[in-house]
Amino acid sequence: MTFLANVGYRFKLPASVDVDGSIVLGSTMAKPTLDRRHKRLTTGYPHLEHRLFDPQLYMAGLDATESPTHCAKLASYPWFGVSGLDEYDSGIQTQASWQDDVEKKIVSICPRHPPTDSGHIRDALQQCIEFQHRFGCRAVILPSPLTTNSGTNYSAELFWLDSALEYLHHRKTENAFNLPVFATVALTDVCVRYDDPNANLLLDLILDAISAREVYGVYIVLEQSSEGDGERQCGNTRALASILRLVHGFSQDCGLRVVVNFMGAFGLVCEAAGAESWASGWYKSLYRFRLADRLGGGLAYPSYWSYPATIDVNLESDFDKIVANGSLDLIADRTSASEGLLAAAAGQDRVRSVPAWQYSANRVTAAKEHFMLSAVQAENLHSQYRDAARRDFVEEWLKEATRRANAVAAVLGPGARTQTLHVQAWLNAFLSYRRDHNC
Amino acid sequence: MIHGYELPVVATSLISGRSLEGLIRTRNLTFDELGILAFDVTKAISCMWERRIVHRDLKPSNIVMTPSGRACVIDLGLARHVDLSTLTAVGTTWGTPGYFSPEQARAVKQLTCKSDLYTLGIILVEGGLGRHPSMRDQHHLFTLHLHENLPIELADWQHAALLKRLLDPQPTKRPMPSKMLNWLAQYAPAEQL
Repeated sequence: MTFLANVGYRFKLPASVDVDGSIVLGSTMAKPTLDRRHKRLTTGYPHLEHRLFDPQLYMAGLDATESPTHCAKLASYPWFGVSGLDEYDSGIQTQASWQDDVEKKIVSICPRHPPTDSGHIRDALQQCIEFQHRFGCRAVILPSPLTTNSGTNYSAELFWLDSALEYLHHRKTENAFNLPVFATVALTDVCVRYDDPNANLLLDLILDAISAREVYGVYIVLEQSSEGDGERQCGNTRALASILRLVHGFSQDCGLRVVVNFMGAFGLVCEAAGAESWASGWYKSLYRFRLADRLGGGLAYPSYWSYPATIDVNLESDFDKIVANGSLDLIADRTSASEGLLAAAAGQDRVRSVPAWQYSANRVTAAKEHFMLSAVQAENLHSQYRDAARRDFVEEWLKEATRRANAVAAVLGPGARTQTLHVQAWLNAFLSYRRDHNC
Repeated sequence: MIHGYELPVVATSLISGRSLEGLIRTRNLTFDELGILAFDVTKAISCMWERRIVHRDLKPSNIVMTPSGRACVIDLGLARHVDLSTLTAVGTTWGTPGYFSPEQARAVKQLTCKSDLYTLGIILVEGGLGRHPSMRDQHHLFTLHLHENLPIELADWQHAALLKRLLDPQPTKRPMPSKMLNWLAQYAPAEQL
C-alpha cells in the first residue's frame, strides 16, 4: 500500500516529505517542458524515482475559456488530437512565449472531446504509450475518455482500451516491453450518484469488461461535477460507495492492482477496500478532478488539514473560533509543518500570529507541506494493518472523525466555511460497503 | 457467384461426429469426458475472446463430439464482435433459454468471455447429470444457486471448485480462460502436450 504525490508544475516536494512515488499530470505541464525536464529528473527529485504519468485524456472536455493554461498544456500532447498548434521550436522561441501563443488560440482550436476517428485513436495511443516508456515510468497508464452517461454501452472507452492492448501486444512481440499496464476508469459522478452501487449496471459492465481484458491494474478517477465550487471533498455516499465497489471488484474479485486518484484522504478508505495506492496533492487541481473548476491563474489560500477529523479547517476565522472554544484537540494533527501553528493555538494565539500560516493569498507552503506529511503519516499508520483488521481500523477512524466533525460543526455554527458534512458520507459509504460485501 | 454477384465465401472444416446433445440424451459424461469438454470449449472461448468475439449461444446442440472424443464448438450465428454490440436493442437479448448467463439475461451491454464461461458451466452440469439442471427453465436455473449448491453427482469431480466458480452470478468472480486452460492442462490434446 502506498501514497503517491500528484506533482504539478513544480516537481520539488519539501525535503521532509518522503512519499513512495509520484504521478506527473499532463495538465500541469506542457509536453516540451516535460521533455526538457526529463533530462534532469535523476537529480533532486527522489520522489520521481518511482513515477507514473497520467495522460489525462479524461480532461478533454475541459473548458478552454475557463482554464486556458491547463487546456493549452493538455493540447501539447498528441493524444488530444488538437490541430492548429505550432510545434515548439527552441531555436525561435522560449517555452514561455510558445505557451503564451498556444493559450491565445486555444479557445478556437480546442475540440473539447477526444479523438473519435479510429486511425487517430491508434496513433494517439501509440504516442501516449511510447511517451510514458521514454519518460521512465514504472507502469503505463492507458488513456481513456471520461464516461459521462450512465446508460452508455462503454464502447468508446473499450475501443481505446482494446486498441492500446493490440498495440502493446505487437510491441511486446517485437522487443522487450514489459511495463505493467493500467486501464483508466474515469467516471463523472452523475453516473454513480443516483443508483444503488449494487444495482448500477454501468458498474457491472465496467467491472466485467475491464477485468476480462487481462490488464495489470486499474487507475480510477472520479470527476466530481456535482460537488460545489468551494468544496474539496466528495460528499455523496452513493458515489463514494460506487468507487469502493469498483475497487473491491477489481482488486479482491479479479486480483488487479488498483490506484485511486483525486479522492483526497478517501484514498485511505479505498485502500481498505483493496486499492494498492492512492494519490493526491494539496492544490485543488491536484486534489480533486472537476471539469467545471477554473484551473490555474487563481489565488490559493491556505487551510489546515486535520486527519483526525478528516476536514480542511478554514484559517480565516474557523480555526481561531475552534481554538477559542477550547476545542483544538478535535482537529489537532501534528506534523513538523504544523508545530508552530499548534503551539500558538495552545497559547490561545491567533492564526495571524504565525507567519507561515497567515490567511493570505498564495501563502500556502506550510499548508501544503503539512497536508503531505499528514498523508504520509496516515499511510504509514494504516499500513500496519491488513485485511479485516485494516477495515476495522478505518471504520473506527471514520466513526471518530464523524464525531469530531460534528462537534466542530456545532462549535462553528451556521455560516462556517469549513466543510464537515462529507465525513458522515465517507463513514456511511464505508459501512454500506462492508455490509454489501460481508467483510 | 450468387444472382450475378461475387460474394466472399467462408470455408470451414468438415467436422464429423455427433452433437453433445445427442450424447447426453443417451448417458451422462464421465469425469474425464467432462474435463476434455471443459478444456476444449474453454480453448474455443479463449480463441474467440482474443478477437473480442462472444459466442452467446453455447449449448449442447452447438458442440460436436468428434470420434476421437474431443469437443468442437460450432454455429457462431449469434456470435458478436464487441464493436457490434450496440446493434442489440436495449432490453433484448439473444441466445437460448436455459443457457443465459445472468448478465446476458439482464441484457447487459458488452458481454465478455465470462458470459460464455458461465454457459460452459451449465453445459458441464448438464453433461454430468445427463439432463439440464432446470430442464431449460431459465428463471428456475438462477434459483438453484449452482455456484453454492452443486448437484451431488458432481461433488466428487476434482474440478468441482472450478465449476462452482464458472457458475458464479458475478462475472468478475469467474476465472479467465487462460487460467482455466492452465488448470485443465491435463486434458489438452496429445499434440498440444
